[in-house]
Amino acid sequence: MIKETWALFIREVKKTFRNKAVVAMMVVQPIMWLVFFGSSFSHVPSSFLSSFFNTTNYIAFLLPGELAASMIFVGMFSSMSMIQDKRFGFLKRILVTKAPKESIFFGKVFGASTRGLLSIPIMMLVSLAFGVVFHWNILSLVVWILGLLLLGVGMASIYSIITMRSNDWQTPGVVSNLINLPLMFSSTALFPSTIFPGWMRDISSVNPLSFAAGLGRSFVLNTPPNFLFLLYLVIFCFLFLGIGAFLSREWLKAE
Amino acid sequence: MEYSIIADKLTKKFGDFTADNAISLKVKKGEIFGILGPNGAGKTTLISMLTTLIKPTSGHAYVLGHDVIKDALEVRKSIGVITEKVTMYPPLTAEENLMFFGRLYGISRKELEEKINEGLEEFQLSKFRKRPVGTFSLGMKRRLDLVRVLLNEPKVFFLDEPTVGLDPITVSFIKKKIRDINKRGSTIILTTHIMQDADELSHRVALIDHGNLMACDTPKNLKKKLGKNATLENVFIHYAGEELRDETEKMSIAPRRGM
Repeated sequence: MIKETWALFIREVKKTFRNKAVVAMMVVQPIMWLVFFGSSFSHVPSSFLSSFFNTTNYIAFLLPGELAASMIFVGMFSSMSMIQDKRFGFLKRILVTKAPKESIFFGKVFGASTRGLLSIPIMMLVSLAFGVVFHWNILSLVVWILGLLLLGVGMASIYSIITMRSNDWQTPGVVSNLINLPLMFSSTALFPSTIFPGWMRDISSVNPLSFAAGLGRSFVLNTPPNFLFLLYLVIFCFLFLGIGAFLSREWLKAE
Repeated sequence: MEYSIIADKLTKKFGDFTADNAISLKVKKGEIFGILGPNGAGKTTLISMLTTLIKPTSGHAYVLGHDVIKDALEVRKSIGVITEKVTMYPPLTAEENLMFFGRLYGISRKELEEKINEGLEEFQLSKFRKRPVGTFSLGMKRRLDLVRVLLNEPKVFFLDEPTVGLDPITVSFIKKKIRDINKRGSTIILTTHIMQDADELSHRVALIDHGNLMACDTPKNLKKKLGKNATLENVFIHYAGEELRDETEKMSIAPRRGM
């Protein structure tokens, strides 16, 4: 199964990175987020920023949140790729080879997650240009990237599970609107939970985005990483990866 | 085992719609077996069941002795499928596409490289190996598709409309290759609307309509039953009728629901 998964993964990555328009969008979109959304607090007094965000530069707070948010969108890529393969008959071709259905599912999920990771160096470089200072704690950095990867795999799994039984182009967009925005706004990706109402704080405390963003803030704000956050993301990732692999045996259809 | 394919009362229903109704047939080893029928007759559903893409509602089918439900993986290991729609990944080069599918077939890298070289040479595509498939003509894609399917050295080929939309030179080339593949000992299941192809290539043909097997014999015998100068097209119309077959919404949607 590993060989087949690897072949499918490589194909997903090549397909993505050979499409210049897609790569350009992947580079520009996160930059626009940081530039436009990150600049919205540029005239707010430092004392206010410090009391709310534990930093005087909102972009330093936003960067981990925005990267976590970008990883939930990788699910949509995985979903769209699945639909594309169904619509153009690619999936039918793969399903009549000896590749297990789980491999097809894993290939989609890992391919989409890898695509999401491209945003990390780009966003970090842009943040440096906006005056964010990194302390380069390697452990925190590794834990953060691992957290983002786990989040991406978990989200891509959820999306792929939803898309397995569909061949409608509209599905990824509809699901994205249904899941991504509420998930993003009910997390600490953009704002700290201290300003949330109680019910939203409860959601935020179990929202995987909050954990991935929290791990990133440990690196950016130079505080020790919370390994419980990482554990939560490990559970989140493997739970949905396992469910998806199991369901793919029955649900993954050629059309 | 004398037969490559055995279908025993193979039935597929999509809700109230019966796509295939208790189809029983046997395809001998080394045979080119044509499956003919009007649009919506149940050919694609039958092929989908035999290639393990969909499960039958009832009945049994065996490919090289392997049950299409219980031993689906074994069936997939021994078949090669070419569909009407040529589906190679456009951004990947010819070589990359073949490498990709070769790995899915579980072929080692060294063996795969040799097979790719041989296949591209045989199908006169060697000089295009580094070109993205998106830049290929339909004929080149079809030839590349045959190289792909041969990588696995399948014992049974399912070819769905392999010559449709191609120029006469490519059609002639593809037909020659189909015969060559058959001479190597492979069984070929050919579905086509081009009666001339079916007549020229098939040892036997099955006519399917409304999900039922209407006739199954050699083209010569089928034509003989209709008269001295009968063509396979006459045979087709004799069994299917002359009424135009506009696929109903039910027919076109039904298979998707179940797949």
